[in-house]
Amino acid sequence: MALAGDLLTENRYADYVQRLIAGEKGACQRIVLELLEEGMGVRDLYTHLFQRSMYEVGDLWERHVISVAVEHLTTAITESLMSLLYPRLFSRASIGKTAIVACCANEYHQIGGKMVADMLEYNGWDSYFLGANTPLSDLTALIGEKRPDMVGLSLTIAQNRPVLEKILEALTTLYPDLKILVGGQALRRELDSLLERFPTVGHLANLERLEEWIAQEG
Amino acid sequence: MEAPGVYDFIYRYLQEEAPVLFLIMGLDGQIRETNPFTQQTLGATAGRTFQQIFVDFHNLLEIDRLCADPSVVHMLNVSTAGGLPKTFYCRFIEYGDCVFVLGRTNAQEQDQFQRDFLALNAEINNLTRQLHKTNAELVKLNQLKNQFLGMAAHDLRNPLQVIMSYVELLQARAAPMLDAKSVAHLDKINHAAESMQRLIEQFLDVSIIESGRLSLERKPTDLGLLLGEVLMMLELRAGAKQIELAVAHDPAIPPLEIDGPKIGQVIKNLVANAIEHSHRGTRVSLCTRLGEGVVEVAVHDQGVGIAAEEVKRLFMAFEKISAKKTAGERSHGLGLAIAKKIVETHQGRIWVESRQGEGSSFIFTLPLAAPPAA
Repeated sequence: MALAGDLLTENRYADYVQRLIAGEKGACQRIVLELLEEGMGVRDLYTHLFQRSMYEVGDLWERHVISVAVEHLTTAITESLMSLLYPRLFSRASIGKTAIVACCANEYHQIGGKMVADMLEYNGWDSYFLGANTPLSDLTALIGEKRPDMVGLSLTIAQNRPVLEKILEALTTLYPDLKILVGGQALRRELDSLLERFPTVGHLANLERLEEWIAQEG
Repeated sequence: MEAPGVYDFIYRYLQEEAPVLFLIMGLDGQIRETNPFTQQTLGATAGRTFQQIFVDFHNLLEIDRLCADPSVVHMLNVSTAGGLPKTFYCRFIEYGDCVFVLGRTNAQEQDQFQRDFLALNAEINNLTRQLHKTNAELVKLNQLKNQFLGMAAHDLRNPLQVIMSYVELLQARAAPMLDAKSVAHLDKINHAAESMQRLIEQFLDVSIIESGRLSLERKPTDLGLLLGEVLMMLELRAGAKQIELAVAHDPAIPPLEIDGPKIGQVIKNLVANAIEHSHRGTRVSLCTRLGEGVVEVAVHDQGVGIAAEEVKRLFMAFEKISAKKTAGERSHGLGLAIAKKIVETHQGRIWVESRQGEGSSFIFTLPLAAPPAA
């Protein structure tokens, strides 16, 4: 079965994951560069290669098949591979909109948030990515400075949910008109209760939904 | 399980599996037994000595001292088999004619290190992203600057042309009716307008060069004739400062496949600079030489010279150096940057040799053969 326009076959994907877990950064980089040269789009690469492999690695770790060290290594390799796309991301014409994307305090999984920031950039937004474990003070300071059109918050670990809620409470009070979107693996469950508590906050389930939202915003 | 059986099990676990430093050595430091973890981590095998493994850079490790109190934990830094140093916290227990060494790493320390490492890695990745973003913004700004420069220069050209045309007209027709002062004023207006025209041409050149639009129209060109044309244009200027212009052209130089007007612009720029930085009554020489596969063109002056620390900025656009022109002429820092770009587009090289107070030599090369068409 082929994915993402027949460029990423299951065999090719399996080869990539195997090399990723083995820590073969060079081989993974080669695969990514080949896919890019063959015309694979940024969103497809992010969704069908990086995101899918990261979910799979997370699953293997939860099932005690791979160690923490391997999980960390695969994350580090994936992040470095994402930087291969920067020349494509940052050369696009700007549409004059700004976004700030951050991971909550204590949240060290930043790849998902970075993907959102990168996709915004790819679609002409000027996106500022604050990275993992962003203190609320840093976030509010940058919001005050940049006056963004949107703030995106990423949550991967469910235990950090109270931190997210604290951030949302602060931001919705300080900036009632600010568009805030949340996303991440930890919000697959009990999302409704969060959105009920913060009715002005939106949710993005994946990068496809993000691009739809971007298109709607104009 | 009976007590002896449990102890056997524990001992076997230490010997075979435990990720702890486990080592038995003689009182002389000779290693008798280790477990796989110790072997793999420290390369500590039977037959080697304790001193060989635990190298103390300041004092010879004294086994007696280490064994004095088995309740004391000693911190020992060691080089591991993998090349990375590690810190072990060890107890030394003397038993009969041997010493048991039991050690562990600091799990908290390792956790912290791991966290710090991951945080650093993430930060590096984020900084890389920011660097790319900033770089892209700078490229866009540079493009905007070039566009602005080009547009501004174009828009200034026409009104300036009108000014110059009318000044020329006045000089030609009205001069006989004007007093000397008014004629002098017209000359000043014309001079200022010409200066402005040169500046606008330079802005346009910079705009074209920096936006990558510099293209060459190569034709067989007689370098000697080109030098002559340039010098004719600058004779008056040199004469005004009583500067002698001398030419030494190598007749062996064949016609070159170059963009004559652009190389002429380079030579004119270098000679004009030489005149402007020279004192009255000195000499500016223009020399050509046929080298190995290249032609060398040099402009020598006996002027103020350039400080060594300023040489590297010389060919950068908008950079000005401390050496002042001797008659107060203005500099905009563009001429040499443009010259460099033109020469390098010809696959040549340009450089300067200078001594403060003694003068400068600006030299550039052009390949004898034009490069093959792309």
